[in-house]
Amino acid sequence: MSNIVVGISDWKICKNPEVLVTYALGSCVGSCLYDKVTGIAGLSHIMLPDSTSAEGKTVNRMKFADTALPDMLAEMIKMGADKRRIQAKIAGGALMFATRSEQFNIGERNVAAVKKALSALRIPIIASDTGLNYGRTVFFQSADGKVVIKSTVKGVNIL
Amino acid sequence: MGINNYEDLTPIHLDVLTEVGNIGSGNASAALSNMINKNVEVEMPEVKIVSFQEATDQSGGAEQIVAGTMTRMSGGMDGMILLLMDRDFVDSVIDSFFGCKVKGLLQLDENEISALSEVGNIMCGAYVSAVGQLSGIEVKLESPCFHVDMMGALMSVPVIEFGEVGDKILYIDKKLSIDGKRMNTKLFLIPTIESLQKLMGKLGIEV
Repeated sequence: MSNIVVGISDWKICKNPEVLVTYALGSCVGSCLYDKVTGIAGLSHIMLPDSTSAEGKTVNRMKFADTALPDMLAEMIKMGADKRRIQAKIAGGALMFATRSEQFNIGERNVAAVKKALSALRIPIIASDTGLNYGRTVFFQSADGKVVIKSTVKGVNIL
Repeated sequence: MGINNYEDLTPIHLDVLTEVGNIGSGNASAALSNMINKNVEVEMPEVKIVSFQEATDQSGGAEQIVAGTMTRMSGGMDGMILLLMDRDFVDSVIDSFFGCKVKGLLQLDENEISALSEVGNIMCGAYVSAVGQLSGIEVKLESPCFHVDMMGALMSVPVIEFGEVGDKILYIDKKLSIDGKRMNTKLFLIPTIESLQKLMGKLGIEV
């Protein structure tokens, strides 16, 4: 069985026993939402915190934390997931290049925006591996809800 | 009609950018050749408007480990330059500086990092100075930041910073060989849309 690849500014949903993967998260954030009972799993890969910064232009809703997460959750519920059971694990949000002119740390802002969006949806975050300065590849197993994070620094970290 | 995002660029604009990239990378390669005392050749760059996903796929895959320098541009042009160096390129540079090969991209020591940062600094400096001479725009460069990681994670930095306007990026791919050996090294010039408009204007191209 091959993994389902989630691109950048993208989200996908699968059902037990499929595996979702998203590659090389830098300051982007990957959010893994899981309903244990139905085995329905959703992985979102957002690039930016807030869609309102795009000022009225047609935006790719999968790119922003504030639009991607509610959309993905709604789709999971449509597939039969129960919102009361859904829990989240998040990864990414690194600061890849530490420069003095990096006035705004976009990775940190992305993590904060994902937390805010999930809290507004009342989805608890039960584990996270965010920040610092390295890229992460995320595998999300819908069979058991485990999130396997690969990086050059830590090797493999399982949430 | 104006350029509001990279997707609005016409074939004429892309031709101009190809030439800009050509002159810039020619200058950067000459600077590199001087510094490492090896023969460096570049092919005509390929300029495309692609999605970030396509850019990483075409560069060898998001998870490939590369060394990168990121340099910010300011003054007459805002944006950044990203130089991505593969293992062969790093070996070639370190060999010329220190007469040895590196243990691995993830095991670089301080001297090696400093040498590679300097290479990034000189190449990016030569690149923008060529662009500056061509257009009459004075570009200032900050000192480069250096980092080794997955290519996709490094490439996402400029895309995110300038990604608010669209999902596409301007991809200037130049192929470079050192002493006849083809390197998988990429130099991306990523101007803001405003700076791109200004560059076109200065070059006498209608936007």
